[in-house]
Amino acid sequence: MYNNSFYGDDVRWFIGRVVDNNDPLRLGRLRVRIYGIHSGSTEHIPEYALPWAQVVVPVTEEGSTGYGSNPAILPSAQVFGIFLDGKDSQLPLVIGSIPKIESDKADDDQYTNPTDDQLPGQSNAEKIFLYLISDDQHAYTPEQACGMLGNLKHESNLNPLQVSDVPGEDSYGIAQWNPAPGVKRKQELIEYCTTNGYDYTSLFGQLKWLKADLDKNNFRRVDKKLGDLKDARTVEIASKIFEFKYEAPQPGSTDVRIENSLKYYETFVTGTSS
Amino acid sequence: MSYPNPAKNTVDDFELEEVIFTSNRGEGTSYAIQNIITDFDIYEHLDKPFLSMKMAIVDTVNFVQSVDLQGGESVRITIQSLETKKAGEKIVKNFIVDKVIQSTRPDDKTEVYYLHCFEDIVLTSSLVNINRHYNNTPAKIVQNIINEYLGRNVIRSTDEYQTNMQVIVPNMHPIEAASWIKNRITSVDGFPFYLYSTLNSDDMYLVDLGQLLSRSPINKKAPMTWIQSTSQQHLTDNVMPILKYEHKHVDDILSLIRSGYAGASYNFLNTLTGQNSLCEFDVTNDVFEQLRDHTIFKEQNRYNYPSSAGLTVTGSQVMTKIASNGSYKNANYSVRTLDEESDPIAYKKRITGAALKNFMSKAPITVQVNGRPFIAATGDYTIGNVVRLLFLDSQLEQDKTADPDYKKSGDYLMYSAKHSFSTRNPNRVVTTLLCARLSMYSDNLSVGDFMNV
Repeated sequence: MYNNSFYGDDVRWFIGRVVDNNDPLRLGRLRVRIYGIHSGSTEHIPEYALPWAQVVVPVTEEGSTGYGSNPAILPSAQVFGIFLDGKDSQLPLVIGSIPKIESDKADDDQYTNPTDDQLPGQSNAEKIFLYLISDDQHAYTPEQACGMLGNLKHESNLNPLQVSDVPGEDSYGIAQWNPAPGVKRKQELIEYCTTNGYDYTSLFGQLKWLKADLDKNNFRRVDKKLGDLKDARTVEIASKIFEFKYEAPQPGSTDVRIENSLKYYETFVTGTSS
Repeated sequence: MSYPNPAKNTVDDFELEEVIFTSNRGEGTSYAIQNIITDFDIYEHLDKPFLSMKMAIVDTVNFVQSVDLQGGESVRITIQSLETKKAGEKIVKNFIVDKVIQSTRPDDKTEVYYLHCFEDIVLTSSLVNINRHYNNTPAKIVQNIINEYLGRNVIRSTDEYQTNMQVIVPNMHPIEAASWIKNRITSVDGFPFYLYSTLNSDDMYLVDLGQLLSRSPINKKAPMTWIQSTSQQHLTDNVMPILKYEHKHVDDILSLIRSGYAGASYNFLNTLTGQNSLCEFDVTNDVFEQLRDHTIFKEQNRYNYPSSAGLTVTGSQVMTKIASNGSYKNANYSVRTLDEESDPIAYKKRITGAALKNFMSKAPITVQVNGRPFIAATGDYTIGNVVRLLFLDSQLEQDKTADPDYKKSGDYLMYSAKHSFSTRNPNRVVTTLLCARLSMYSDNLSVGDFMNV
């Protein structure tokens, strides 16, 4: 077990794909799905179970508490690094990113369910956007759809199989429907999908339920000042309404959600996003 | 445990009731081949959770050709010992052919094939890749892997020191993954864990060394005894004769020192906090003295180590390992990862476990005895049990019973076993045991005292 007396003699390098840069410790750590070590199956290795990898920053950054800047690597980036523990492969360290040709599929297409093939669009983000603005049940405006999409991105990275990484919470799906006894949102999702013959683990089933749920005005919090999602004219307002009335998360993530929403608006509507 | 005297015994030690060979070619036909097997050895080892076997097939009927042996065929073997025949207890083991070691042709009408086989779970395991995350105590993770992928029940010690860990198994087969995790488990006292299978059981065992060494010898009053002198032959009435023994390449203290198991400075670095947990390790003070009152040293209380010889210098070896980078540390909760511990005491348990495991291999002895007692299907009498060995010292005096040779005599853990079955009339089984221990008896006991400890 201790045959290697010096850790530096036992190094294994890797290439991976960033799936989460929202480090709860604000140290710029990344969750990376490492090719060949972490299977693509989010059932066996959900994203919340991926280890946080520390990131090497340039020597031009101060590197001491309170000084210097954090890494700016975004989800979907391809990164290179080493395992600090060699073949045990539990302690990843990211050294840098490897630019790549971006495909049409975005960062949120890890999981696909065969039933989702009926949704138009390449990536999960595009499928969600196109479904939300479609006439099925109720059509939302592009601004409203992007406001919702930015929130869903923050909640689940648009992964229909996402389970909350908060111990004991078990919120599930793209909107992180909470199964707690007083809320039972996940149970409502399952009941709706079962009744209507949809797979509740699929993006298709979850989008059907999302629209049905919103059409019932089934908001977790009532806030008349915010108005109705269907009346929201801008991406920012739609993002806030969806956040405060439907998701009702802990405070502190509003800016990130709006930023996500605006990015999707640029991608799918104005076409100015890279 | 009663011992047959092999010299006087003319009846079979065992009955090879059935050996069923099933080919995986074509329609999967089965053949009863017990009549063409002359010899087979079954191996058990504390470090291996499966058995292995070598067998000789004397082929005079083109058997191997006709079944188109390619490897992967199954061999089910049913053995009955004479002791348990009346009770109807049998040992039934399933193996798969790993490879043909060799084939020879002693004459024009005979081909002898030597096959190497593994217990069937090795094939089951080799066909599965584990790449998934676990969050549990290491012993429970091992148990879950064995249960889920190999379908075996695990009987385990509950004296596990380690708490929950989160780990992603990085592409391993189940046996490999279970052993990988098992190496991170110690008991509260720091004893390492072993994961093993035995000849007489279908269960798998995950047991700590302290529990194994605490077992009473299975032959307490009748030690396995090596006697050459005719003047001491009267002793053979109550004991089991050792047919052969081997005691070589032992007491290699330098390799233990150089590996850091005698004394060393261990550093466990956490790159998230930038802090280092330093463990100054000294096997005398940190292991043997800490365990002085443990059951295993109650009677056999001379450590297998020259503790006063100044050989445990803590800084003589420096080991540095990155134990954590906070992989699973979040804002409000965290789970430790594979090699991470909460404090230096917990790290020291791991070092203690590794040291004890290596000290077990410091002075092993190999003995060969009649194997009948070990193949009784009524219980586990093989590896994982303690046996008492008796060697007489070399200062023999006329008309006086010699004293025990305490360098070799004592209570030993059976670490591995080879059961050599021969079906040449009469059927014989001889067992070769690799025995290991951590301590010796004091040197003032007579043979009579020794048998009554």
